[in-house]
Amino acid sequence: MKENQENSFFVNELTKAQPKMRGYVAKLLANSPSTDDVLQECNKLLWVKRTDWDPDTIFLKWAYRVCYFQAMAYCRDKSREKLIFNPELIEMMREENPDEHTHSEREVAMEQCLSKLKEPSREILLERYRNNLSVEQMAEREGLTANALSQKLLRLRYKLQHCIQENLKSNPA
Amino acid sequence: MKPEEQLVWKLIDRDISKSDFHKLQESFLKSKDLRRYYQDCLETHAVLSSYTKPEGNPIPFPSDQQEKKPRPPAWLGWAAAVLVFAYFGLAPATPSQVAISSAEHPEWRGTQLTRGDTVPHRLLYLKKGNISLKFPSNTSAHIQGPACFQVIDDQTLEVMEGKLDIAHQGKPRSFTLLTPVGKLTDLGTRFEVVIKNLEQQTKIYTKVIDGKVEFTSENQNKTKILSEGDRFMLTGTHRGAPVIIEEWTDPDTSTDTINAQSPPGNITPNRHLKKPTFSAIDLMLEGNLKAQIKYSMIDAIAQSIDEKAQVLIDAEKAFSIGQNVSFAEAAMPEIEAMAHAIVEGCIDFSKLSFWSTCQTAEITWFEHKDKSGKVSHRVPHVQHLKDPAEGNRMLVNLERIKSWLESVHLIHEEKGLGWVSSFGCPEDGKRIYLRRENDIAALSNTIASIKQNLE
Repeated sequence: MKENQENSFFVNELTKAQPKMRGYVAKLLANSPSTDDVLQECNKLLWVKRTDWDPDTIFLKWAYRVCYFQAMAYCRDKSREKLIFNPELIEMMREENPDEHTHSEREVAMEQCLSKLKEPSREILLERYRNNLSVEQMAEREGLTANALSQKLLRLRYKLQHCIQENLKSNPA
Repeated sequence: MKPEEQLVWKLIDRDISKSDFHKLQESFLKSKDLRRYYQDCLETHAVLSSYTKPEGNPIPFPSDQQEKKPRPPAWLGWAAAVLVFAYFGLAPATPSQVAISSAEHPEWRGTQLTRGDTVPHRLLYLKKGNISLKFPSNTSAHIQGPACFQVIDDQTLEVMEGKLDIAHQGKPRSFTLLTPVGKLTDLGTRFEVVIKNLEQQTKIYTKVIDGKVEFTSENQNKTKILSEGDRFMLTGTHRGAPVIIEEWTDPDTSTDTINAQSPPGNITPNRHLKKPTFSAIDLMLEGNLKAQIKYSMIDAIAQSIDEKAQVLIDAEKAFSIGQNVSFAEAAMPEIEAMAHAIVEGCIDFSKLSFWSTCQTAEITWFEHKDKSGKVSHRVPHVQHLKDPAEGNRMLVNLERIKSWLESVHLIHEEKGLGWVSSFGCPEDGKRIYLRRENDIAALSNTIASIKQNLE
């Protein structure tokens, strides 16, 4: 019963930490498509080593440490890949934790900011994420050149990002 | 947008050339701000991805025996942990008897549940809207999205994050709310809870409306009975770790509800202690020099308009009806000049943000107490107002000017077009009438536009 209870604690902590852990791994891996695979490896390792975690310490700090070593291992194995950060930068980023706002808070802020965009712009931005279309495919659909659409998307995301940050600033975590 | 910021987005899209990647890497090494920007953009990217893929398939949790398979599209790995939960048999085998008794525009991630549906024993994420759960223990739990929760069994609800209102009319101890920092056992009562997961800790804000609730911190042998009217903040890292229990008092907000989006202002501290030497806007714009300068200019303009408007307001108060003319008629040149200066001046007032033209927030103070219960320090927070106050009176003055102008226009209609002409000439009067009509329309548009600028 006690073990079951301890497992329940652990799962609760692991579940809660997932969005932040994913963000942390994605940052170290330059948003590599392998981020989720590395995160899975981290989850697996954390589960195997769950008895090493001292419940009097902060779970996320321990989880970040495991994520860091998993990310370093990935970078070492894939060092020949095009977009791998150098170890000096990864070491620097290691200590910089994501901000305190939760995924839900960020989502609420984003919804408010999206509602301020004009509908065609909002649709272009969401379409980019919704169907995972390439910029070329979207440009063809919108009747624009790929470069023009790419610039438009850049501007929209920049604007959205700025608005979210302002919004979060006025609602401190 | 700076060139490095463009490169950040290109990196996130993995659409960056090798030379640009090296350039960006050099910039990252030099600038902490740029690294911070990259991190924030990644979080926005993750939210956008999950927002547009609510039905995203969860990532299977890898077991030792499992071979690695291609990853299905997914937005968050946390579902993996939920599968662990199920895998280790923590969910009951019996079907749930907990049902949704009411639902108000619920938006779920990865499921569709509505009124009358039985709630499954798995983790659920309510993105938006409100729902009420009815437990066989004669308990109802009203949950407001965004919230993340799981019905563990017919007497237990686990909430990871969100705002809820519990009313329990069954036997004492027949309903338990599990939170990330401890267990709240209902002893026949109604209470509100807000659960916020921060980076390194979880905060649970509770407010007992009536009856009693027992808080238990497992592994710590710590139990506290919360009674009617009690407001406590429970801070911890997980259910097995030490919990700090702090009381929050606010004598004049007993009927308020807890706000889930920002730290609950109503369970914040004695308002009579608040003597801020700065405004909520100062706090909102902290660290944003450009916005501070912009707002100081708007504030100066607001003061200037307010001075002029105040002259007319005072005159209106002192104006006597017995003078055979109305105030609007007597002050017509001043009113028209003021309106015209606004709609045709050098400033486009329609671009002003709503918050910069009135007061949308106020300062509230969180008190931190030391071990002896004495207030050690207070931290200011921005509390958004339900109904905006006048603030710098920019908006209220624009509305007042519009109202005066409309009164003048009405008199003009009643007295005929030649009324405002020195020579009683209808053509002159018509020109002035049309110009004023345009000014009224422009002022209306300006006010409507400001009210929509809710950034």
